[in-house]
Amino acid sequence: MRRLYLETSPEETKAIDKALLTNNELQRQYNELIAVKKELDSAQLQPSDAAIKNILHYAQGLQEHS
Amino acid sequence: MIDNQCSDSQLVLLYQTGSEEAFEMLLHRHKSRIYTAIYLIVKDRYVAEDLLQDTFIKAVNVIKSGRYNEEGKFLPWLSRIAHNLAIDHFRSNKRHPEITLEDGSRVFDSLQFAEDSFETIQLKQDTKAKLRALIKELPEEQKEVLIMRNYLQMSFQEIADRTGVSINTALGRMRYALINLRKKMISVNYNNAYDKKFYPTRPDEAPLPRNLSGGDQGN
Repeated sequence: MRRLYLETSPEETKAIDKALLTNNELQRQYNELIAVKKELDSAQLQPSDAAIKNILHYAQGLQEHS
Repeated sequence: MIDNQCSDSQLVLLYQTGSEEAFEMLLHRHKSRIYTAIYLIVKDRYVAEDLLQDTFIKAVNVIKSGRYNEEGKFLPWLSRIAHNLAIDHFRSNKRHPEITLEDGSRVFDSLQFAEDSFETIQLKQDTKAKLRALIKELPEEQKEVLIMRNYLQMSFQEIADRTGVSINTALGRMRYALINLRKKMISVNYNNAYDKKFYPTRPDEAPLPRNLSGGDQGN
């Protein structure tokens, strides 16, 4: 999990990648998790333009008064 | 013109010194993840938009008042604001529940039991909506970790601290969340998941992990 989310140290990364290269089952499981993560990333929603404009308008107003 | 490679902390500094463009860049960089995370918690697009606005307005107020002191950790800080607001709303809404559809429209007394409800039709048309619906079906503890890690980009250690469990428990919940989600995707024939390069038929067809750059989480 930590390798999937890039939380491993360089040493841990190296060790895990070595294990992935030599263990087909581990590699298969890891690739399945990558695929799910990729889908999760692509399933993001976009807020409406109106909501974004409201935020920018507020930030701009505050900027002018500061 | 601000360089797109500017880090969050640099953008915060620029905004503090008067650059509206810097804030706009921060907003566009993080709006989707934060919005998706809030939506998955509150399950209502309109409420999620309100809470997204509240999140950034709170952030703006803190930054502009000079109280921002996160030392380069803008996203985790912003994520905490969003998570707190979403959880507060979720808890208060539990006492007065409303049923909402994926597009945010509310269903009160007009529940329909036809075979193809509006939501069913939309689910058929929108595979991403289908995936979000599957996420909502996950056990609460798994869904919570998945939202916090994948969308709010909190580290596993931070998730463990915030949810009061060990890091190994947080890691285990995330692992089960992804495994369960994959099973659900298979059970509903979620086509996008069946990309051959990720689901090889033979072990020797499997892609090797690429871009194996250290432990840098990036931003």
